[in-house]
Amino acid sequence: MKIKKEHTDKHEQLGEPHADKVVTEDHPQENVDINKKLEEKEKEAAANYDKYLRAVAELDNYRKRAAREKTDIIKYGNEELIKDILPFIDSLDRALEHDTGDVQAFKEGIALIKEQLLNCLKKHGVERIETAGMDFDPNFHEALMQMESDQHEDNKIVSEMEKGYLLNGRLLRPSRVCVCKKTNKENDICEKNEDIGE
Amino acid sequence: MGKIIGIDLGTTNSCVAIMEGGDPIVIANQEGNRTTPSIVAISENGERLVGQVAKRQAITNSENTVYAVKRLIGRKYSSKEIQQDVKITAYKITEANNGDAQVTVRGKNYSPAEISAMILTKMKQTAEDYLGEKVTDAVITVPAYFNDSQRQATKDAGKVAGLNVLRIINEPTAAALAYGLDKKKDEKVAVFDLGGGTLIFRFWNSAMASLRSNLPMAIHIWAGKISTNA
Repeated sequence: MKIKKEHTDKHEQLGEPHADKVVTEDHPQENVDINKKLEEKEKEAAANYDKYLRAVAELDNYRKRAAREKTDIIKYGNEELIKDILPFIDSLDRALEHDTGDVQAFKEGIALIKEQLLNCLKKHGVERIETAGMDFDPNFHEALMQMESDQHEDNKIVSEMEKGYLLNGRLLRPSRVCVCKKTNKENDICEKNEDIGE
Repeated sequence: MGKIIGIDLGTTNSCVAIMEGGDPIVIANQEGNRTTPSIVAISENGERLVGQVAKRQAITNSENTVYAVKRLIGRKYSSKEIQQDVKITAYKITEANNGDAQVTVRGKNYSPAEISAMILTKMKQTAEDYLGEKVTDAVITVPAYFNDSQRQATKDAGKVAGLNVLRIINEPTAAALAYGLDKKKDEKVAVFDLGGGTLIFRFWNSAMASLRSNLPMAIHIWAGKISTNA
């Protein structure tokens, strides 16, 4: 109804005759058709406006629901992972209670728990980044230091200070590594070779 | 009309945000971080690395890893600030033909605006990945003390990155707008910003001051990076 009134007001402002008044004696049938069409369009406009209002309200509700769901995901999203991790705490508790004094057996037990934990993380999409013998790649590795080494090629990883992990293919934490730098000796040889045009 | 992105082009880190449903949303980058290090590196094979990847390889490629380029933007090579930076940066700062400071990486000269453009391109890409559509318009923040030449260089950087820079906003102004100072009455607000290259304290009386005005109460000194280097 509001639209109908606005429509009428607009016509009045523009100084145009209102559609209801567009009746001339020359073309009565044509005017009836125009009035009918106008009525149809007004109905269509009202229906579209109603649809628009509903869509806006729906979007607003969806936004609020999405925000609520996001909060819930942040709060409880780790539930499954934590449930899977809890048995390892139980295992560690048992290991600590069961003190036999046998260090080797204790170490083996801890290694088993670690292996199980890694498998659990793998189930949740966590993968270890391999560094042994690899080229340094800043997409997966973070260089903490450089060292000269004859045993490794230039830009190869010499040692790993901290292991890196991927979560579902995306970097979770880079491997922190030491990278090989060409030794001065090799550089000298290269420079000499360049000098003699080899 | 596409979405307009807001970019905080920082000395140490940069950040991109959009308005969604009336609220500002900070967009996480490809690596899942809400901020991206303002670092650009050129690898041995000529590959351009921007952000976290550039930071991770900085130790192995320090001469070709450019950081804190915002401190060079729009400045003359002979200026006191640049001469101080020449002594402490691992990358090479040289003098351009017009007397401006530029960086030389792997034998090629880049203006600070070009390096900033690489960072802006990354931020633009982050927004495009999130929105799933091309982004052409942006608003970029700069320190309140930036002069015309520095503001123009930042605008040029946006242009090189393929962005139509609709406005350059002072960083403290952006912070005050985010707080909602433009909608409040009779309130005194202080913005304190301790960044990598800037320390600013700015004061507004919302009833009296226009957010666009440059009030004389702003002070700045070289901050974070210099303190770390000291």
